[in-house]
Amino acid sequence: MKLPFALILVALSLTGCMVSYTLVPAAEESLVGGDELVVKPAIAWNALPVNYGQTKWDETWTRNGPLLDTVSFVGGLPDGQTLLKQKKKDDQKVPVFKADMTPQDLVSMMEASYRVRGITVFEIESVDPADFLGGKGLKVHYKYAPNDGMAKKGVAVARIVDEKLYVIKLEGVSSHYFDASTPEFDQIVASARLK
Amino acid sequence: MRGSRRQFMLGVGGCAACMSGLTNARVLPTDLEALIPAGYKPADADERGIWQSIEQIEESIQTSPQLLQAPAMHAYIRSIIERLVGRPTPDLRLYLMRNSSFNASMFPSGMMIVHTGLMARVRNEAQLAAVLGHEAGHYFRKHSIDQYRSIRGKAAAMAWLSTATSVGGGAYAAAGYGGAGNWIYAASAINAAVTMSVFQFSRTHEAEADAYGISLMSRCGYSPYAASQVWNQLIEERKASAAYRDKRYKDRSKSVLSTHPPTEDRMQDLADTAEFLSARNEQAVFDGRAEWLAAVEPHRAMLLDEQVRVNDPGASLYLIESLAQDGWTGLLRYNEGEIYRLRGEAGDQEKAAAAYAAAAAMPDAPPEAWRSHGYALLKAGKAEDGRVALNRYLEMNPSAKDAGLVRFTLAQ
Repeated sequence: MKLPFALILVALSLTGCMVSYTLVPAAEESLVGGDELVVKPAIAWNALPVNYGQTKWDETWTRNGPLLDTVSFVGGLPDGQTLLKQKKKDDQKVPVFKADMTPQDLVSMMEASYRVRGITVFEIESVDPADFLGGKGLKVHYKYAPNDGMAKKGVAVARIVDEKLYVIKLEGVSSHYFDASTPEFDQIVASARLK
Repeated sequence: MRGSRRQFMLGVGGCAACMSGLTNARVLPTDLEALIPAGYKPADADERGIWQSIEQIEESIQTSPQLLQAPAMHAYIRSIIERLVGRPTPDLRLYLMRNSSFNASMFPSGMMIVHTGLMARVRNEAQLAAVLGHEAGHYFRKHSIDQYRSIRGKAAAMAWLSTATSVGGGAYAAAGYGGAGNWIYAASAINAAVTMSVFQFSRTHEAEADAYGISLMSRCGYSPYAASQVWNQLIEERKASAAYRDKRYKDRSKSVLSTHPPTEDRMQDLADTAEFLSARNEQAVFDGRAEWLAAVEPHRAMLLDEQVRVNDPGASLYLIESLAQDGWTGLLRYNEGEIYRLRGEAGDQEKAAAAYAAAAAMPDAPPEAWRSHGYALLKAGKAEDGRVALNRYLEMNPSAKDAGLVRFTLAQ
């Protein structure tokens, strides 16, 4: 009995691997992370298939593969929702977004979205005000060490508009990919608008 | 049940397992001898294969960003190992890894991993020695080669795969921290036999390593009760975590398929063994509390931060309140506030604010306590007091990573 069940699992996981990426064309506006946030990348990207555990406000793109570089979007997370899906069995509590969060709370919530998934080494490098979606948001530089991969650098801009959270972030392997994509990230952030 | 355990411990009960239906293998600590001398090299092809399979992991660990660079703590933990073993141990290579889960592991080639999550939880040197002694037990009793041959004997690839998976998964289930893998998990996935962590391995080997470890502890004067105390603290922490989530604490190791002895039974066995050894040992025992507190003090802020940010509120509050039994400090109050702030449920904002205020009133409050205190005051509508607190934070830590944003807040 056990072997067929295991084979079914293997078959299912293989099927999952075959879900394809979709091309995000260069120099065209794209709706990201729901139906409110619009950005215009200067170069073409590949949108990752929706994965298990991802919320409907979450979308991720990559150029060289998700292990090397990603740009991700949170397109209007409403008050009372979470950045990650809370797994019922988990001991760790995914923090809930609240529209009245202080900048410190927002940074903690973003950090917790890594920590609750078992990442211990996570360091904030800087937190500063930043222009985003026509107003002042915040910009966080950070780095972290996935437990089973290469160290990564990240930068995120975030702002609460009409009680919803909008985030764009870039992550890449520290050695090369992060720096290489930074100008494009800045360009995407500058292009962002609400529909 | 308990009576028959005691009889067995005293060596007059015959086969306790036969008599009482005791499921755990029991081992007399006095019967165990080290099977590995100093400078040991692999004896045959099986062992050489095992050593080679973990060399690559060790190389990765040496350059990992998770490796904790703490020379004084490293030397201190090595000194505990050498005290336990009773000789210098150049063949044991110790790595302190930044991982918030409670775990340690020993590899047959002499590589030993200690997680910061273990350092965060032990209360004295004897408790740390209990875990290190247990790991040394796996190493000196050559459990890895036993396990390797046992697994190989079963031959079927599926058996190998499922053992590797369940052993790795078991470590997480018991530690209460699921999610992404770590080095111990990675090693388990590659080769279940090479990895012996606190939570892994067969019931027989766990019982033997427990007995060996406690015997080493007792021989060099540590309180043998420290071993059961470590497990008791861990069980209480998991209960606190479960209670917060309105769930019943479940000892996941109690499953028939689990490779390690049920945690509560294991704790009881360790307490029984401690009693047995104490009765034979007239010398004064030592728990090394002052030594441990001095060694861990420079790392305490980092260790608490690692725990609190995992956002397991019941477990974190248990840890903070346990440490506060020795008196509240600014650091503990600040972390108490952080637990409530991250939890963010009804009434938590007020609890966090009260904790930050209490921290700020203490002379040893860390700068971050003033930042959190300031934001809490702003949230409560006390703008002027909030600004004073945020300015205090910047005065104490002018190069703070978030100074730019705090200055922006102050300028609003």
